[in-house]
Amino acid sequence: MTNMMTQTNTFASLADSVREARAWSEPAWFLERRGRGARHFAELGFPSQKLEDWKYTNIKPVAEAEYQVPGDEASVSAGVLAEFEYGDLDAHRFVFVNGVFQPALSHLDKLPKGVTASTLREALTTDNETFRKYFGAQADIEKHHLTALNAALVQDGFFLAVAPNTVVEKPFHLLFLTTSDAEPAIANLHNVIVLGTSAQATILETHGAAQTHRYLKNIVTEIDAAPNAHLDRYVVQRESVENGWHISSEYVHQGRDSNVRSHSLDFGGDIVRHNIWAKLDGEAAEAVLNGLYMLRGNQHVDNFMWVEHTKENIPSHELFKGILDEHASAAFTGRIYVHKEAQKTDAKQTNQNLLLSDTARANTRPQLEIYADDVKCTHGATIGQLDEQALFYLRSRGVDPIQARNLLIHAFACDITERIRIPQVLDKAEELLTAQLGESK
Amino acid sequence: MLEIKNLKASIEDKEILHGLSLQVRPGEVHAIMGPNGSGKSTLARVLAGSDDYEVTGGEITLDGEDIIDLEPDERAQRGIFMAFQYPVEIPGVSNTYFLRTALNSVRKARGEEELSGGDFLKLAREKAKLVDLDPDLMKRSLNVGFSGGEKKRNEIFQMAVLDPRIAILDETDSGLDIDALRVVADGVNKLRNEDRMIIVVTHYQRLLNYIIPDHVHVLVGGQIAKSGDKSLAEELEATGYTELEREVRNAATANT
Ligand SMILES: Nc1ncnc2c1ncn2[C@@H]1O[C@H](COP(=O)(O)OP(=O)(O)O)[C@@H](O)[C@H]1O
Ligand SMILES: [Mg+2]
Repeated sequence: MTNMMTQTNTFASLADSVREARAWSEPAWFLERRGRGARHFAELGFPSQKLEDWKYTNIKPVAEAEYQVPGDEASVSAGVLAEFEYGDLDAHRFVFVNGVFQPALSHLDKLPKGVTASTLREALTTDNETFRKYFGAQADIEKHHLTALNAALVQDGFFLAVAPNTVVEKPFHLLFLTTSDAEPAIANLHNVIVLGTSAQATILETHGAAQTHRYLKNIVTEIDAAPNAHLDRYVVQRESVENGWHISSEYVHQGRDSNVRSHSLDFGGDIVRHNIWAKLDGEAAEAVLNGLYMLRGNQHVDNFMWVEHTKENIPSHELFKGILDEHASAAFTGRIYVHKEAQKTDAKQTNQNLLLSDTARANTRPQLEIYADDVKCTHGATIGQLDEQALFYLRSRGVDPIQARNLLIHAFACDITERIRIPQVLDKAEELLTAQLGESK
Repeated sequence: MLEIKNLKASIEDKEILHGLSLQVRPGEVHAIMGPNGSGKSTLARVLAGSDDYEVTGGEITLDGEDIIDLEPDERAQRGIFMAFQYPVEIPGVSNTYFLRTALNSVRKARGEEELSGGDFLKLAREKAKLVDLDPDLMKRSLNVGFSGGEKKRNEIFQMAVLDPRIAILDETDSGLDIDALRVVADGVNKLRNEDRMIIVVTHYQRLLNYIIPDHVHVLVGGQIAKSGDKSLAEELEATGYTELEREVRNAATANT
């Protein structure tokens, strides 16, 4: 295999070679951060299950793999790309394959004045001021294992800056695909999204593999929403069910009256972990985190979130619903941290799991840490099976058992799916849910 | 014809039906009356194929076919319909979508073509009139937020759409005021025809003033204690169930 960097064995040497390869093109501050990331990761390593925050996810296979960074030449066909599209959805499109931007597959329509949308690489080359200010501002490379690794190995990413009072109507569709003969492959991406005061944008992310191969996708996203900014985000995770490892680390900072709505839809992945650290840092800043996962086989998805309320009148809502079949497992940790100053907090956190088999497992930990006295915080978790009486009712009208089950499962999921505001994404979510449910009983 | 012979059924190892026999011919309406806990709902749910119950003896045949081993959906596809005493609320499943799915599987089983969304809506609107069902309820989640009366109307509405060979109505009258009762009974009467069999399960005689049965059976302690024509219902209205219950108890002690 030509052009293939096949440095394996240690991450240190992987990181060194990335730095050497990039030294000619990257600014000093960026290279310096790579170095720090590498050093911190050398100390931190991959998280072990002994850590409270990682208790329910065994990433040993991820930690022990000897990764190779695939070369820059890989791409995917239009046919493969079409699989990850959403009907007739009209969107700006950024395609990354193995962490490498694909200009030929991407297109950016005319943007309103005051909007910058580019790759991370371009933002570096043009020395974009906003990028420099926000890149790495929240991502914690000292404490967060995978974020440190990402800093050392980051290849590219998406950068969006929307000027105050500017609305971008058309969604940005970011496709992060992998394809490689090199196994296990690794891709590291870092996205930065900056919304100015009263700015609005919609971002749709799709993750998947174009080919069957073992890989780790390690992705960091930093979001800064200025006062009254609105961001709608959809992350459709369709990584390889058998071979895809996906770890995301998201950092969100929200100003007064801002509104960030995130929807994660997990259908794929072998080992998946989503981390969200959200700081609601202005009065009435609202965060909505929704998640749906439908897993089977030996899939595992772990949603971990830390939501910090620092000011008064802040609502935050987390609703995560999971459907688990066969040997699938899921974990949920939702921590709401309410500062002393955050009076009138309205926080609601719910995790509900539907187990379709005796061997599926769910671990759920909604947690509240409250230092203010005038707050409304509720949390709840359920793990249950399909309602037998409801099944009997449907079947007694002639609906066959598979359809009856699917009706109830879609009904269970609809609390999440009905919040999807892009009809094409909603249709796709329903379609993926049905496909993932399969025909098994 | 529906033939039940010496049916024994248990729930959680407790026998509820102790050898029950009943024959319903096409076009007939049978009323099954009886005190609370006598096994009326058990009979209805066993006929519909609920797997909460185990049939430990006897036979059930519909037009000569043994149905005991059939699943609930297979029974529905053969034309068995049971209106629930307590219709189940199912959030997130739309009434219309569910009923179209149900109708189409029943039609498929009958070798009929599936109905398109438009044709189904036309049919549904027409049948909703039969029980004066608020068309808005069709769009809502199945039985969620329905009043007691609306739930019962919805059951009969489903019956009208599914056009069953045999309908078992389990206490469709309970919880209905007199006006609602009349509407529901009228709906059922319009669904009477020379082929359809109907079993009306009720605790009270009241409903039978509106749906006039051909035969009346009294279920006591999991057995049919008495059968007769519609005058039996009137008789019971006057005497109550206590006398019959005592007789059944005495007979049971005499046998041991
Ligand atoms: N889930 C159950 N577990 C145990 N016993 C039950 C259950 N459901 C009903 N029964 C018993 O079965 C008997 C008959 O009940 P049911 O058929 O509901 O009577 P009816 O409809 O005539 O009031 C009652 O004694 C009742 O207690
Ligand atoms: Mg009953």
